[in-house]
Amino acid sequence: MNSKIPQEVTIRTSLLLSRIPIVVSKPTKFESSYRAYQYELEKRLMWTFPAYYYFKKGTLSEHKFLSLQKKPIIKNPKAWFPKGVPDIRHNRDRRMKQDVILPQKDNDKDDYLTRPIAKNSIETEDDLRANYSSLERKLRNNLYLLVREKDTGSWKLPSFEVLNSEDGAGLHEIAEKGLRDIGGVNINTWTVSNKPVSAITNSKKQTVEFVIKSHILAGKFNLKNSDKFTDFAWLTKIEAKDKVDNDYYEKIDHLLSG
Amino acid sequence: MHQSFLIQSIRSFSSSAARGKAACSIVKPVHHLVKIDKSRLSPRFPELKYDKSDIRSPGFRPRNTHQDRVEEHYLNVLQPDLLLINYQHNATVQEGLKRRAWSGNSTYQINRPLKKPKGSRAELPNIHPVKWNNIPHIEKVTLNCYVREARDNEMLTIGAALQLQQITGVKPEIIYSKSDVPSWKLRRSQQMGAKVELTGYEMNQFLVTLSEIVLPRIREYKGINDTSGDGFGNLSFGLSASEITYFPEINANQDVWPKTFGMHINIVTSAETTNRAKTLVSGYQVPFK
Amino acid sequence: MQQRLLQRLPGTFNGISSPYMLKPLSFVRNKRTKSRNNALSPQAQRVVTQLSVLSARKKVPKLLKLSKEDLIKHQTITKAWSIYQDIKKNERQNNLKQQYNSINEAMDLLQSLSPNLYAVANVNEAGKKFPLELRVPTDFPPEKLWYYDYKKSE
Repeated sequence: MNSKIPQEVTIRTSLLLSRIPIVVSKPTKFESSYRAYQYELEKRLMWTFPAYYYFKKGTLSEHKFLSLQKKPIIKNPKAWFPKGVPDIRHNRDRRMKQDVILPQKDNDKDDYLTRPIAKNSIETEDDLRANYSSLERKLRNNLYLLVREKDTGSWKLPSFEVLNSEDGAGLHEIAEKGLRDIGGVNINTWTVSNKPVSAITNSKKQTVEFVIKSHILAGKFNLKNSDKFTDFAWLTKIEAKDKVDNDYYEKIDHLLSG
Repeated sequence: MHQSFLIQSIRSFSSSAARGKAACSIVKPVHHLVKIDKSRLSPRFPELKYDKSDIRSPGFRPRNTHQDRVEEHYLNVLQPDLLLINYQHNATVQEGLKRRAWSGNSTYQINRPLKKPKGSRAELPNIHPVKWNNIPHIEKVTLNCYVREARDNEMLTIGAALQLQQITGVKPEIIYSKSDVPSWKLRRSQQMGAKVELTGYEMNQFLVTLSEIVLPRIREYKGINDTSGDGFGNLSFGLSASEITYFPEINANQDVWPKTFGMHINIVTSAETTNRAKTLVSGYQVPFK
Repeated sequence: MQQRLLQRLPGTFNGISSPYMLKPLSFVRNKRTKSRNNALSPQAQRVVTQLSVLSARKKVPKLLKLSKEDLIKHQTITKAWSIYQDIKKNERQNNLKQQYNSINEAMDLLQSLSPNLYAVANVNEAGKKFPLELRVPTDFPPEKLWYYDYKKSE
């Protein structure tokens, strides 16, 4: 450990503020095809669907359900079956998977079970417009808040100077307060821990930046007219790599996830 | 090495006693320790000898049929956060209570088992600092459905088992009473309900159904009792019979469920303390009081 | 007469035959094989249905029979998946190890630079809870993507 640290080192605290993914990650081709294969195997090995349990005998719903099902080929001792003799139990050919077709209703909006599910698009309007100030983009990824410094013009995590460490405020409180000073109070965040997740040392400027981790839960970051920062953006890990200086990115690379 | 210090450690059948052996044997006999599974020796039913993960085994069940969003959330968000929250600077292993050695003053203490730990009947496990390779995770969830009325009507256990199967999609096991309790009119080995053990995808599906659908629908539900926990990182709580009806599988056809059964939910985690377990489980959107 | 009989028959709905129709209608009188009074009570019938849902009887499909070629294909796929999972797991573990080391270094540095800030940072956070708003991701996006109108409560 370095025991002799010059007294003129400035301590700064920066905030790694992230919006966690809203939608699951995109599966690779291998993942999706492996899962499809396993799913087909599961369907083949699944027990027969006990329709008699869900549909009472002699009811209209049973009739609707049964009329939709594909009827298996019935075994006939006099006939020749080129694809093997059917083996039917409970209206299902045991040699094959069973396709259970549920009755769908298009017009009935109240019945939440049979209503077809409308899937929202994962690509949003802000994705198409590349609106970096929006939180409603790249729903599959983590988004991280980066700000542009006025004097150097480089993109960095929002960082704030720790002025006097005597008043008992921790790094996390100073960082959260600093965020609200530049971005407004109408933002709901959750600080993960009091502990810093990393320390970024800059030997030229004699500064040490302690990174505090936090998640945004609701609200909005509105950059006020600040004398230190000119711009802000919510970026994914890949986008951040392009914007941030290389030597700075190397120090925060392991903290970001895809 | 001197010849005189050699101890014969392997018993041979040729000689009944080792040379220079004391009256009692130092080496334990090793006969009959290896159990022989006779079904493996038989040439019949070769497919039964395969592991259940092998596709040739009749017990084969495919895994990874769906993308697991809960697992993804755990790996992406919870795991790094748990590492940071549970980190303690310069932390060391906290020794649990262990058995104590005898003083050695008396010859009667030779070969005695060790003294019990002070303040506990049994030894307690050590608590390790959380590092990158032992971040707490949920190992399994056990649902235990004990039906008291099954004492008089064993048929009720069938309903309890089916309820568990409908909720989880996993085959349940019947549980039996363990002892005779005459004051409760309970006899040993009566069917008393059902239980099911969940791991992997089914476990995550159950947890997310619980936190997204069932618990929010319970009127004036404040959350799991904060005193829950066994001290070793396992949490448990209960759902009453009326609360079970909020599960979508039960809710969708209520006419076949005139009677539902309450159950206990045990969440078994690898967290070694209750507090760590609470932090972990709260990440699955489970509310606490 | 025939129409009325047809309506009473189990397995038919208003005379429409279903695949569960038991027997063709015949008027030949045979010897009665079942007594009329052995019908189960509704409660008992429910238990029988429940048992049959739980049991494997008549519901288990035939065993898979793979040819040698199919078996080798399956084993190759399974092996590839497990290797892929191992690689991903190693990557995650390495990343977590990096994070752990960087936390450790930061705390060492903080301890030497400012004991006051270190004391606040190293507070034991046992029992800290994740907020309920930190939601598990879903397969498809919700109707309202982000709650922008959050107002700080006074």
